[in-house]
Amino acid sequence: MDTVSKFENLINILIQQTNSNTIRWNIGIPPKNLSYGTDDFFPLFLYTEYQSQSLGLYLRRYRYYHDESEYSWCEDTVFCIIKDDYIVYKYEKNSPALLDLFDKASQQVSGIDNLFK
Amino acid sequence: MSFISLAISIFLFLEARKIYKLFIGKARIPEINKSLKKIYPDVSEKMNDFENNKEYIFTEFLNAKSLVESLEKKLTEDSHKKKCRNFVLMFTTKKYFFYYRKKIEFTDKESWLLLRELSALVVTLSELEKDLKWK
Repeated sequence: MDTVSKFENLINILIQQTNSNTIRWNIGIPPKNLSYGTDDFFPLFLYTEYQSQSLGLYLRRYRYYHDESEYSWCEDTVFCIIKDDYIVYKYEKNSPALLDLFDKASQQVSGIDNLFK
Repeated sequence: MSFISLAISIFLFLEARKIYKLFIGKARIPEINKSLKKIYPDVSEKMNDFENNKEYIFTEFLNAKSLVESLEKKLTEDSHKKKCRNFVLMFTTKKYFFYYRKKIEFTDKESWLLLRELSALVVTLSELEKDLKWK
């Protein structure tokens, strides 16, 4: 199994578990090794425990430079594995499953379902 | 002498075909990728209530299949073609040795598997798209 398949598999499982509310996502503060020494901004950082392993999901807003001075703002969704408050692996591919997981997780955190009870 | 000219003709014919394929890929692969990307959230949204949305989900899967089939013809590298082939083969069941049957009904679990493959395919295509910019 190559890296993409492995992560796609994991993300797929997480989507199903998020759908059935077996795992709960929480809002967290981005670890220091992510946010220090960079101009990037992290609008939302979510984390969860899955099989006693911390997994994170966050948005990264950054400047995309077209040339030396002109830039536009871009946003990426990134999936990461956290160990002892360090992000050890980042999966930042243009994957629809990843976008969907972020959508589902943020929906769960927002508590929209509770409003209809 | 005529043998040499024949060889050159064949060589040029193959070159022209390569260029044609490259251009059609450059134009079409990003478009197809975009359509495939759209299918994922649509289906995933309906997966919560799988039993009631079966028809919709299967139709979307068939759309994805035909998109991937058309994509396969436009690719030049074998490794990418193989990935497309594998996806298309998920829509068949092996009956006997060389006899395959079409499959249009899936279970809940199989649908998630298909979605996973679809997403992995889009990741590969996105990387390919970046490569195409430099060709």
